[in-house]
Amino acid sequence: MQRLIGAALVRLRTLRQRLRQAWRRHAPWRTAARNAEAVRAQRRAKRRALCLLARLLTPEQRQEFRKHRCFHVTGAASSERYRIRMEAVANIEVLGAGNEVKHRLCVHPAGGVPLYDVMASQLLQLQDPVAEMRLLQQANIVPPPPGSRLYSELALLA
Amino acid sequence: MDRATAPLLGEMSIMDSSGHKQLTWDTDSPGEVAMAREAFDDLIAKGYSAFASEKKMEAKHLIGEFNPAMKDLIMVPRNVGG
Repeated sequence: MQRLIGAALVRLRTLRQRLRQAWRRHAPWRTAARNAEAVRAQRRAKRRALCLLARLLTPEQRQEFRKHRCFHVTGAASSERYRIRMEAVANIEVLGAGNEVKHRLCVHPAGGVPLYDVMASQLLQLQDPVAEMRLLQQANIVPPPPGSRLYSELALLA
Repeated sequence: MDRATAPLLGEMSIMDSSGHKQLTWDTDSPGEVAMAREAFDDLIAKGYSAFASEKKMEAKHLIGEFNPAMKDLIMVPRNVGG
């Protein structure tokens, strides 16, 4: 009888130790600290990507980006006008002569790069003749969203 | 006495999920240039595209081979259609 009680007590002690260790490993403050570090890393990545994008833009593109969160690029090979918007999906608009959106392109670099790096990569590729052609072959074509507003040149001058 | 001239540094920005990693090399050091060339070739083999210019503020164009004259390189991962 005493042996049974002793064995049960040992099992209880072991169980208590395991629970304590699990609590220390997965305690809420540890999860919060991990989450906070992940957020900080994400913000750092975003800042670095924005610095890189900013130095690739011309002064006019930079001003446009600051004001409207998008910028225009002329294709090096096709001479098409593109507008690169700050969006995660289908963010390259192919513009017609009257600034209407003909269609959109959905293509981005692999590897989970920050959005500003996506835009920088698209800018670099559209500005190079060989890279532009390659990008056009790889992109998925998406129709413009219904009722998409024309982007007036007057808005740029304002 | 002449002032010592600052070494000319080449800079490679490699886009990744952290924003980008930076690799710099002294253009006068054959060892560092070789190391940069090796990193370049490695990334190209992984499907990266390289855009380069001789100076930082110049427009960049696509290059297929490492060129020590290009001081500013940006390595862009391969594209995926959305």
